[in-house]
Amino acid sequence: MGNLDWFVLSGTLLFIVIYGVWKTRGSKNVSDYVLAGNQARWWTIGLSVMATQASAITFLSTPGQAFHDGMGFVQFYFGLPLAMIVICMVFVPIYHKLKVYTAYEFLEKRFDLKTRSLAAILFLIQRGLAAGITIYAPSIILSAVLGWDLLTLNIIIGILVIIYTVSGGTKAVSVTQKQQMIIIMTGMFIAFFFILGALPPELTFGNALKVAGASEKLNILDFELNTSSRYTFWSGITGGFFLALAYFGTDQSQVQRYLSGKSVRESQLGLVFNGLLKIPMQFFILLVGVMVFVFYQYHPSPLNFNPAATIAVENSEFSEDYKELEERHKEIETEKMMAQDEFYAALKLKEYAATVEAKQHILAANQKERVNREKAKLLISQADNLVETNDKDYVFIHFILNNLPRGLIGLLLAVILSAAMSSTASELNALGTITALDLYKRNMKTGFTPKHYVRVSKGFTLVWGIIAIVIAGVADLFDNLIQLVNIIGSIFYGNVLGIFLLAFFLKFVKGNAVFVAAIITQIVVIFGFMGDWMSYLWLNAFGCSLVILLALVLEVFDRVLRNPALEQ
Amino acid sequence: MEEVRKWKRAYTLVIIMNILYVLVFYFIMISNA
Repeated sequence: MGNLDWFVLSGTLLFIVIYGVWKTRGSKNVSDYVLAGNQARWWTIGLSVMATQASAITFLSTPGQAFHDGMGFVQFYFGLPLAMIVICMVFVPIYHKLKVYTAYEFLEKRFDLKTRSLAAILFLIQRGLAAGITIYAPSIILSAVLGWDLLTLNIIIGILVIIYTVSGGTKAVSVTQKQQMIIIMTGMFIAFFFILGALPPELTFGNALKVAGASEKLNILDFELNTSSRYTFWSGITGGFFLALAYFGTDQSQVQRYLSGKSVRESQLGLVFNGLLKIPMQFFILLVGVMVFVFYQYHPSPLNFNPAATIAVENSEFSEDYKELEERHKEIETEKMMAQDEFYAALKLKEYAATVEAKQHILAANQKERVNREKAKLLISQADNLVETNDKDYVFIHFILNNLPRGLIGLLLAVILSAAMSSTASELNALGTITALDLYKRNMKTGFTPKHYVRVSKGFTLVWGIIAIVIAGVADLFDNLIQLVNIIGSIFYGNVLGIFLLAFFLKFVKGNAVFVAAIITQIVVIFGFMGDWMSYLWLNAFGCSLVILLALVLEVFDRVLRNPALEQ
Repeated sequence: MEEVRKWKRAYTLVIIMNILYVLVFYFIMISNA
């Protein structure tokens, strides 16, 4: 990193923090602080909703996912637009009509205090953990590739977010997210066009897609009815729908974004905006990853993208074996380049048979490369079993640091840190609000002034910020960071969504049945995850169905017990 | 009623656009297979 990169990076981040604090100074009451005075317009809500969901993990991990596994991950988002419609039609009007500050306040109005508190506590557990991971994920990667101290980076990201989130509440989160989304999308577009410019001059964008397609990176859709496959069209439509419905409809970090709308219409339009743009946005991020893949078909790539892993194995007794694998990697890359040239020549001559033959050579070379990379991972884990061998999350950052010009590196790092800050800000904002309003205010004696609750909300936001930094400090890297956040969501969301669906649609079910059903369901879902009963995406649908079914049975059972005459 | 009709149109637009995306993805996949 050069001076220009430092200037761009620190200038961008400081601008966001200062802008957030300055623009939102002086919240006088809870409505100002928690709902931004209900002044947000639809584009602010739409961008804020998108920025909340798109964390740094999205921009680090997703291109790496496309690099290794292709673009099938986009199917995960197929249920999201449908979920947006259901939320617009059912959730938003009710939340606005009841003038709630939090999603769980609605549960008390519909059921009872204990169900509200249970849902709030489930939210605090999963969102509190997720907030730590949202900070930790970019920190671990940036510290590995840039040599920055991990703890210092966790603390810096955490403190920057805490400053404007505590100071300005929801409005600060929303106004900064607008700026952050502009920075993020500008950075990603520049990176995309830069990659296209760095490809061989004769390779057009259309041909670059052909090259990616020859290596099966453009297998976007999978219509197989296989529940063990992680990303298929059907799991995206169903599992993705439930996850999106739960996340956007019941997770306070999202609900708080659209509750700040000026009217029901503004909130609904903000969600429609998300339903229209989310899939193209994810597709674009994956496409960036695929173009990075094409770039490395014509440029040398490391055997493992995680520099810490390479250093670990090079300093071990396995260094000679690793060098052999690196030599083999170079040979395979040469073989791949020749196969790509052969493929490209056949394409130009429009010779179908030669294209098919060249594609077979590419696939064979890819297979050799995959085997070689797996052998390298094995060596790395033998050299140091603590170092991360899965390098998906390091692909894009490696590309950025080694290929982008000065200034652009700083901008792309600002993109990653902005994304981390935008998600963390929403999470801390929601965690502080839930603790202050659903737990503290609801369970303490009344009679405090509005200013007192603003102070309490600020205090809890600060406390959750510190907790998130502590969690980030002790977190350990998982298989794939983006999946970890989704897995945590899947364990809790189905249950919470089921509670909300019972509240909205099954009026005869009462609080006691829902409360007991929710506790049983949560235990069963955790066992289900630990026992690997199904792909984690299905846990949403499973948890949601189970809590509804159990609540119905318990309610009927309760009514029969209380009124035996019903039995006849 | 006019308001309801407007929203129905907005939701239909969301569904149609997303079906269109899937068709575009299918086209990209098939034409580069």
